[in-house]
Amino acid sequence: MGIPKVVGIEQEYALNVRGIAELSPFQASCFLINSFADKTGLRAPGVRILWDYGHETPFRDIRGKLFSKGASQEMPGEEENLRINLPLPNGARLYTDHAHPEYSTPECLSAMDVVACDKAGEQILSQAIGIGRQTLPGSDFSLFKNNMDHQGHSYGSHENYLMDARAHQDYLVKDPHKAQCTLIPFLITRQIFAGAGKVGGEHSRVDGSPYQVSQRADFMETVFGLETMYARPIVNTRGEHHADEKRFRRVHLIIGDANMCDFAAVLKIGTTQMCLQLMEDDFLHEDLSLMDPVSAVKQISHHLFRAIALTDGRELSAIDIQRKFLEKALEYQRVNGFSHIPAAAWILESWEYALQGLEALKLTADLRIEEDPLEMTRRLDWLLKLWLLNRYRNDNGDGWDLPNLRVLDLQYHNISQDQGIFARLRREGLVEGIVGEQQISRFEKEAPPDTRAHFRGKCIEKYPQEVYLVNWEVVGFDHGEVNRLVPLLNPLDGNSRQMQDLFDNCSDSKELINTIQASADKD
Amino acid sequence: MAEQRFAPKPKKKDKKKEETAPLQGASAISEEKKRKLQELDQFIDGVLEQAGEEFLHEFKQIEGE
Repeated sequence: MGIPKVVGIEQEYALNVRGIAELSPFQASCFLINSFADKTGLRAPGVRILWDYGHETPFRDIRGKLFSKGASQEMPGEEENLRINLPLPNGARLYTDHAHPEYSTPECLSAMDVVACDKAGEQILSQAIGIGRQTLPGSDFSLFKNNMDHQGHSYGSHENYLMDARAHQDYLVKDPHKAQCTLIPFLITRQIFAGAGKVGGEHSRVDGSPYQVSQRADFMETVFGLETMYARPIVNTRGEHHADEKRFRRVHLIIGDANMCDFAAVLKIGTTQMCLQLMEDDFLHEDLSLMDPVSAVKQISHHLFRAIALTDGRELSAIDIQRKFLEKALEYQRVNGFSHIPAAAWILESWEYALQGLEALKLTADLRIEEDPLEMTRRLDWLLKLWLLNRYRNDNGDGWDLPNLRVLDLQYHNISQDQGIFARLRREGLVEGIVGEQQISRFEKEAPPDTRAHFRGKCIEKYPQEVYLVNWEVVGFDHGEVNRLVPLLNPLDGNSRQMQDLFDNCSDSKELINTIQASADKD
Repeated sequence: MAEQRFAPKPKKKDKKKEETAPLQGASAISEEKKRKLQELDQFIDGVLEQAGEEFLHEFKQIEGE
């Protein structure tokens, strides 16, 4: 009956620096991360935790071929590794990716938790900005959780889901048409509640809208593929599973937008978990394949309510297609129950609520919000942003070509509590809060208790001078005469239920590993 | 699992003017809400002023993976 849908988010942040001309974006990103590390004691004397790139295979494709530039990647040297990477006691990874700070959440079981962890990342980076400003007087760093710069560049908000190896092989490798009938139409249409909203488009389109639902839609170019910076695919086929491949696979999605609204974020993750579980349990049999999936992504983003063509000749709206997935999910809940998906009842109820809300939503031809009886404006980023932009248009002319509309589009995503527009809207009670502030604060310090992230985080917290490397699937310890590695090939192992007593009772990592070893030998 | 606040049961509400859409129960705009919206507009003006004309140009990003 499917497997738990462990999930993680990798969020790249846009960086804007003022007041110091001599720092490149790469240097500025490293500066922020290392200032935070120094100030918070994560780089105390004797602490040198490397990120282990040994399990990264960016050129390996799940379809069995090595594509692109080469079959290997350059590994940073030890000092560069330390400069770029900061594994955190909450199980997350904070690092510099090209020229962006990137926050990869720890592995979570629930949509609520992963959104709380993602928001904990916002808080941590917000602290890093404060520390950076103090350290370099006169500097002004800003970070934005969004996906495009209005100058033709995009950066990701990637999602990773654990999937049963057999189903993954079936849908994405052996018979990708099965994914074309199920997962692809689901992902293309979920933007109606998961889109972050965007002024304008990337390419001049005859029928382009001045405001669209999704930030990433215009950047999607193919259905399946290995790339992330060009020829961007709806489903990324990177063969890097960070778990025992015989049992588990990773579904790596790069189509999604960065959400600020909790409701939209939790719904995006929760419904995707459900769709994958329906696939694993062979519960989706209707062929919903789209005539032209890549065009459909853009069409829905620009014209939410227009019908799109299916390969069987039908024409359905994105809401219609989402309704079909919701109906199957409700049926599954009745027949089997989503036992592996926490808060499944909430996700189903909210899915129904969102679709009802969108069906009742009325926009004018000029994109004014005429009717919103279910207050989706409080819940969906693209609508909240549209409301905000329209307020500005009220006093500054009706047009969509005002440069300040693009400024507001970007500043909505500024994570500063003082300067960010979304933060202000939330403080004013204009946004439906789903994830509690206490939970977010907790995940700034602690890993989620129910995955291997607990083991990784606790080791970094309790034995920082003994850990010499980590990645998603291993923790390595320096025990003087010998280095010892603890593999974490099952993302569900190493959780607090299994490990809490050990961490409470072991004074160092040697004792911890010896106790684990003795227990394994006994079994 | 995270703390949760459950979404209200779907129910249709009175049509609202766009200007007040995200404010709960705003069929008639109270003085308090008017004040809040005015403050929000002032905040937005401050954000735009601080960003300045150069912001869009200097925001150029390098793409990431």
